[in-house]
Amino acid sequence: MSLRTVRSMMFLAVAALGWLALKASADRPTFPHETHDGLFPTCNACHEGVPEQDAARLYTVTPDDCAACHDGDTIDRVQWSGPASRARNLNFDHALHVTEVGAECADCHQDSDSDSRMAVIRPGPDTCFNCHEATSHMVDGDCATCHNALTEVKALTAETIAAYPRPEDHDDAAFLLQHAGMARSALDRCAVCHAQETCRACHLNASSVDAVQGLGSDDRVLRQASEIEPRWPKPASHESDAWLDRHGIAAKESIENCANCHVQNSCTGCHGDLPPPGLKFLPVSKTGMPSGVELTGLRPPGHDAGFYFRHGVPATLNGQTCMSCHDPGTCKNCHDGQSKPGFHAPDYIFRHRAEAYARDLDCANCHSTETFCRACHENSGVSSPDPRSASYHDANPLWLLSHGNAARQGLDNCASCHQQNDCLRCHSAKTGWRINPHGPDFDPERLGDRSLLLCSRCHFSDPRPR
Amino acid sequence: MKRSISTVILLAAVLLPGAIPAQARGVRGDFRTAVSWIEYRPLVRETVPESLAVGDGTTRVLPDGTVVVCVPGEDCYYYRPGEVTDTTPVVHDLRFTTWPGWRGVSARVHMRARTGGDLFWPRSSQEFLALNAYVDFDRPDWRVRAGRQDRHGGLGTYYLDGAAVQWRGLDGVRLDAFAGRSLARTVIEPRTGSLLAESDNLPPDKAAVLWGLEGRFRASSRFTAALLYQREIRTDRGGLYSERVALDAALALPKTTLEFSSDYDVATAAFNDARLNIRRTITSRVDVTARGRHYRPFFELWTIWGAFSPVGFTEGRLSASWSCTDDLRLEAGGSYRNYEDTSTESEFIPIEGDGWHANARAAWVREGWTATVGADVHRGFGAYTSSIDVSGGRNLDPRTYIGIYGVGTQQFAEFRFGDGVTRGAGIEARTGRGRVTVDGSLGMYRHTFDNRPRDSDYSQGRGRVGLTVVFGGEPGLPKSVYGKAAGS
Repeated sequence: MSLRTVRSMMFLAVAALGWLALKASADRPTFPHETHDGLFPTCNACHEGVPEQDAARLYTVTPDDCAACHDGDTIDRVQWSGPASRARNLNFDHALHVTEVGAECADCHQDSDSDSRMAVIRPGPDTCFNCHEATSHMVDGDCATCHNALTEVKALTAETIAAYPRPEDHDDAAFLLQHAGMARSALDRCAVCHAQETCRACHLNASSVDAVQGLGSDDRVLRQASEIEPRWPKPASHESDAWLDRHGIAAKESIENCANCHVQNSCTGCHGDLPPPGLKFLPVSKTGMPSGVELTGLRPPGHDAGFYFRHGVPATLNGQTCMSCHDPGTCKNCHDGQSKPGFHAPDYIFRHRAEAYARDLDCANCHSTETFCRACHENSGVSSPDPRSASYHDANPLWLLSHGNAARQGLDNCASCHQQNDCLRCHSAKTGWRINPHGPDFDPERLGDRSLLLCSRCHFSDPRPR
Repeated sequence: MKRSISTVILLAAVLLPGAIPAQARGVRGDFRTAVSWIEYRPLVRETVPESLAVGDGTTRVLPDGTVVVCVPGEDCYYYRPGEVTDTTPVVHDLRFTTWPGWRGVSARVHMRARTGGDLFWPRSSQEFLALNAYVDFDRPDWRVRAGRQDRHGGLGTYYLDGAAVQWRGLDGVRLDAFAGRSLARTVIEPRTGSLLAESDNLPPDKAAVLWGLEGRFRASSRFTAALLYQREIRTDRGGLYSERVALDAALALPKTTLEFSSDYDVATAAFNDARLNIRRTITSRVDVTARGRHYRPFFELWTIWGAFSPVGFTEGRLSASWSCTDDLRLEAGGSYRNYEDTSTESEFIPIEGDGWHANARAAWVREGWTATVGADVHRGFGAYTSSIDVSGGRNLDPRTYIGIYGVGTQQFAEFRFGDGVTRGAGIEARTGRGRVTVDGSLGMYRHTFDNRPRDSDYSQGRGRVGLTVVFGGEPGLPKSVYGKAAGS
């Protein structure tokens, strides 16, 4: 075996021993208590101040004390100066535990796998839970017992805070929807790790939420907050079929709940024409703040492409609901024959005649037969002011004698060209040919009871049978 | 006078927003102005010597087939389209709602001014019109409205100068009562106004009072119903102009919606328009609608038409829509209507007693591009029409659109010689920034006629340019909330 090989093996052995030493030191204080087993009958010999929680005398060992044995002759000298002070958020009172609880040092600081009092360990949360009952350190432990609010521990760095472990319950799918109650009932738990800035990552209304304001502000959590991806899970109430109808009432009762997830723009996606009064209580979306639930382009179910043509009955039945989103003028955007020519298909001027007979739409809702239809028909070459002319019905010379069938079937279309006197020339009992225009189902009594003046257009006397 | 009215409207639109204090007590509205242009050919009366007409009697035919009316011993005459001319109506609309700062109080105003020729709508003889001017006093359980107002319901749109009270103290129930001076439908002037007098030789001679009651009932999110009764009475109480009832109801079942609507004319004891729609969602992308309908025209009692026993028709319709993909939607449907027996004694001319209609449409939208193709066919009583229209365009941004369209229509004019074809194309565009929206369209149509030698083919132009400006906002809300309203 060469010298080089020996050196390499020694190097590897030292490295391994060093790694083991470092690992051991992670669990145990750097002072090798076990090595000094039997030398120190009590812990107080070196930790005089512990029972009184005297921070200045937690470690009363001095280099001279070590040199009493480690004199360099009998035993090698050592350089030990105690563990380095580190910032931590641990609020532990030795005096309380020693004097009032009666705890012994070994109760917490003795390795449970060893019988030696000097097998000293730094206790973890599980040790505390032997007395302070809890099943999980960061879930149901009483945090304020051991920890201070983050904003009160100024020595902690942002890096330390950002490295805080994540409690298991924070990964629960329902946590986001349930944490409000937790925050209200146990804010001190939240305060150990979070400040207002953490909440602002999602809460659009952070400035008005009492629990958020109760946390205090601390810029050190900004790095922690930047790693939070804003989410706004859908509550169970929003899944209901009736939610669209009921959300207005819910908003009216507690708009502050809506403001957790929604900014004003959430509502204007639907309530564009007519934002509801409560909208002003929602936060306004600004650059740099979370956007909230995105509802742009959302329309009530059923407002699909065909709704344009079948909204009549829904509007009649639920006009008040329409008005929660639509300005009163919205109806007149279409139901106004003068201001919405785009309502009908192109060239409707030429092709409306067929649809005027089919009457799928109620023309009279937007157009006056007398002032609109007749005016256009007369001036566009369709009808004439002379009822006896053949300018239009020239398909058959007997039209005048046999138009009754067509007239009964399409009288509303006749009226779009003809004035009343055009027909009374022949169909009046007063003058002309006195051709009876009434059909077999005509009820003169019913009509005359409502408008006898109408009868007088054609009759000299009351035509109702008595 | 016309210019002064228009000037008032324009000045009000410009000054009003500035006149309201910046505390945003609340004014919200819009100003719209639109200029339309349309070419047309008015009727011209022509005479020809009696010797040129073939036949006997008052109705004869010229050698080229033109039908003329002849008075023995005098020239024969007929009407033909005249020279192409045009008209340019201009309409200004100012609409706003204002909140003076008192709880529950608001006012709504809609004014219109018009210029342009009297030959087409809008008639400039009605140069100024107040469509709405009412005050609302609103409380959680009731509302009182007074002034010129419009009502939209099961009987359509009615206007009145009066008052309306609404009570909604019970969840799911709403009751309305209204009364006031009746205004002629869509004309929006008293029944004794000048427009009706110019349009008919027997116009109403008395104004009317309109009153009515309406109740809406909502049992759940699945069932709602509404019942409306209204009357229009002459102010001299000499009779009614109308007495109508409307019943509407809707029932939402899983995947199926039933909607029923009906109007009933009490004066003639007839249903004017009764419909039952059943819409069934087959899959998330396919739905089918079946409709049964009975229609009979409604006439007000100042006209004689209702006494002429018009008949109605019964119609069945079936339609389906299919969203093939997220981009493509297809629709198709057809209807058949059958008229009731007219009971007329003279039937020298066979008139069809039924009609049918078929239509199909495809609409495609992707990444701002849109395209539609549609076809319609009407056959039967009335007019034979076949038409096709196509359009395509692109949304350059949420408020800017530019597109082109083309149409082709062939139709056989009812009870008239010959047929005609119209082919047209045009462009349309819309854009907006902030509170301003501009839109416009321009099209040319070529009309050709067959078998009508005296109706010469001609090209017709139509155009429109519109400007809309939205102003104001709701009290307490930032103005940015209303940025999108102008484009809708």
